[in-house]
Amino acid sequence: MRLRFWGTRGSLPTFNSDTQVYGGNTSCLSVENEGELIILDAGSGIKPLADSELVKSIREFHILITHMHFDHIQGLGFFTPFFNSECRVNIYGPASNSEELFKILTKYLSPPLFPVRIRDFKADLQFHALPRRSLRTSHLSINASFVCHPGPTLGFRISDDTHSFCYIPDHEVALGVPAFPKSAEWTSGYELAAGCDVLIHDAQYDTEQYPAKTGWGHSTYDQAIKFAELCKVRQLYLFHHDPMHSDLKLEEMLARHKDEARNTTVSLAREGDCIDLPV
Amino acid sequence: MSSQDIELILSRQLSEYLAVPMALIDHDGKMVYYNEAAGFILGKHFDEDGEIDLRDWGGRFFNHEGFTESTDLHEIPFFKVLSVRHLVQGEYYMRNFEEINQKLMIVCVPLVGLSQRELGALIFINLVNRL
Repeated sequence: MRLRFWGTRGSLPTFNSDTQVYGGNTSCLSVENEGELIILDAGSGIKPLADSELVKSIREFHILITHMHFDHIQGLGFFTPFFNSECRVNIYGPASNSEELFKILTKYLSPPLFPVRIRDFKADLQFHALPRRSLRTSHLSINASFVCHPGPTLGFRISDDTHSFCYIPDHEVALGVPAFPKSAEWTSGYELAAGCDVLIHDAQYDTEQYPAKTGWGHSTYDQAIKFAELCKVRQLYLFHHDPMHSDLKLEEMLARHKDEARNTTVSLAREGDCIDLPV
Repeated sequence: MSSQDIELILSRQLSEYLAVPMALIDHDGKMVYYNEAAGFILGKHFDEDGEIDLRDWGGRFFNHEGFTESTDLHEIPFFKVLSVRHLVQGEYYMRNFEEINQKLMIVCVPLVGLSQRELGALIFINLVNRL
């Protein structure tokens, strides 16, 4: 199983001389496994993925969307397999009380916000609301659960027979918990991440930024590290970099917090990097 | 170990900040959390005594203020709310875990998540008087 970062930035695509190392595209990962391709989120990073050789020979895609904030869906209309009648695209996203997944996405993928309507896409589109009891592709099992973030937001755990990784890009894991972490049972996202090989987790803020941004739905470096340690994760990738943070700032924050992890290896998620499981 | 659903986790976090007596019941009827104010009424403290199982309520609710005729388990509001799946409220006579007889006003709100997931209930308890 190979994971590849196509977009690691949070909130807003950010391209300048200060974001060349860790990248400026918003959330998108690919998971390659035995000829299958799963795509996690459709931020602007899905555009370079769609342009890559990776998608050329594949006809069935699975796009798992954690939530409907714009930085996680803004690249959707640029996913070229949508315009290929030989392709089938399964789109999974969080259930809503008010509207079907299809209708929510149509709000963005229709005029005046987007020039092309979903109904004009050529591919066979299938929409699936999550969570549901279990989800399997040919070779992988996928678990989805709601996590703490404004509006219905999913985290995903993807596993083959022996290894698993967890993707929780937007997660305010310590909301309302002054002495984080409390018990595992009462920690958002614990069951998804427990014991996984790799955790890709929200780390948008530095510690001193958090008081002013409490309730905005994101975690700090130290909270992400504490969560990974609680979940006994082997490797943590800090993800959803703040658009205001330069490459140097990210490295400075990592250097300051890295030693807080005792059993987990901590890295910065970097656009273009691959992770091969087993690590 | 499994973790609670996010709706219960967020409800607990809210209740920890409230002075209003509040408790949470999971989909099996177990009282998985009660805040400090609710603990005062129930005669237990969550940090010391932890969760309260379904069977622990047996003989603690009564049909009249005479506290002689105990209420059938399924008529206890904490469980009735799970079966009827709509708001349950009323006045109840309860002998708490410190054996104090009380008249309570209880409001139980079923906690139904997205996709109609039945998660349990929010319980609000008001002490009317001690008898």
